[in-house]
Amino acid sequence: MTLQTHYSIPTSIMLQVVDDEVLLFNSANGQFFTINEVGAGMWEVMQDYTALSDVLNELKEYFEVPLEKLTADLIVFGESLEEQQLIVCDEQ
Amino acid sequence: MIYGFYLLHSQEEVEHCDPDLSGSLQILQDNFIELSSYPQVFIYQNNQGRDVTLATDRDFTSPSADQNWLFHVENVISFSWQTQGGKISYRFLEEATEDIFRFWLYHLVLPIYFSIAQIYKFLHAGAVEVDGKSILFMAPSHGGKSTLTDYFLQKGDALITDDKMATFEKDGVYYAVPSHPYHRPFRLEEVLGHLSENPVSGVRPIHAIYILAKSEPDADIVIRRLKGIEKFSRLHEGGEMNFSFFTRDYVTYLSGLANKVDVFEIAVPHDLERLEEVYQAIKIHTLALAPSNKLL
Repeated sequence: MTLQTHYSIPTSIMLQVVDDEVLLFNSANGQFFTINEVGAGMWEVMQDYTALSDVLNELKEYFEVPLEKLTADLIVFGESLEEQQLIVCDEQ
Repeated sequence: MIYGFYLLHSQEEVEHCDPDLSGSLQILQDNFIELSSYPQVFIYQNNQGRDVTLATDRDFTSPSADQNWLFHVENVISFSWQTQGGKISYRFLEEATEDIFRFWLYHLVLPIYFSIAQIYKFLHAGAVEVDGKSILFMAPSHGGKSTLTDYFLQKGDALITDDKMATFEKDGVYYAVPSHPYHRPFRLEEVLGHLSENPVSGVRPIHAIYILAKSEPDADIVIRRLKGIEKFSRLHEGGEMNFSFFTRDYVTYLSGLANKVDVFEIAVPHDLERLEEVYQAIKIHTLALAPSNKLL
């Protein structure tokens, strides 16, 4: 996965918050996954875009971390989401 | 004619709570729609030793108000209704009896009807009222729900439901709706069970949910508050009537319930001789618990 990766979020994916914990629920298979506060912030932005490069441009306004680290974290998060079938990626 | 008690005594309370949930439900022996007009078979399974079919006359991914539904129990009875038609028609088949008819109506048809009409959300739970506080017991099948519910009834507490807990939310408060007044602390096919002498007659805010976890016979009885994902997960495991076409709605509802109602896991020793200890532990815990599920 790279910043050029495009993705889509299946309509079956839902974000729910229970007692300040965040989970992504896949209504297609009944599985759910927890994400931390940073992941929740990334997910929120990802819902508005379809390319990781656009997500990064938005995120760097909010997270006060070196761009290199933010990029790496975003890609790792994206790979994790893809692995859990929470996003569908389309390499361009 | 309206049969029995299931949700119907409480309907007045529901009408009082929310006009949107009102409307009498009639159970009629006419206007039955024939099986051949239901091309979409949704469920076909063995239940109580019978082949059971739930079918509908159009796509079930997004039920419409006038959509026709059929619940057919092989050789016993067929029920038909419209999603929000306010009445259920039925037809006896060759092996039908009045008791078997009521069994299927109470145990499955009404929960299915109220779920599809989106009037109530169901949990797989037994429930009782202890000193005015409604508490639910959830557990996997054969996890001790019925046994514990039965013990509370023997101690004089009131029955809310034996197995399928109808709930709804209004103004941020989650309510338990009493079901039929029968209790079945045993497993016999197509049997309603004992008629409760002390059923609850109206809707009540849910005070707490206890999820039963079997433990060793000599283990301590420990009550542990569940939070966050674990709480949601355990509630989700106890979902009931969670039709695929309502999954998103149901999950959102469960999240809201999890955020509002206190949920605990209780380690229940696998020893009937210790039921009194379990009973006392839950009762003391329940009565000491400040209600979180209330109007703000």
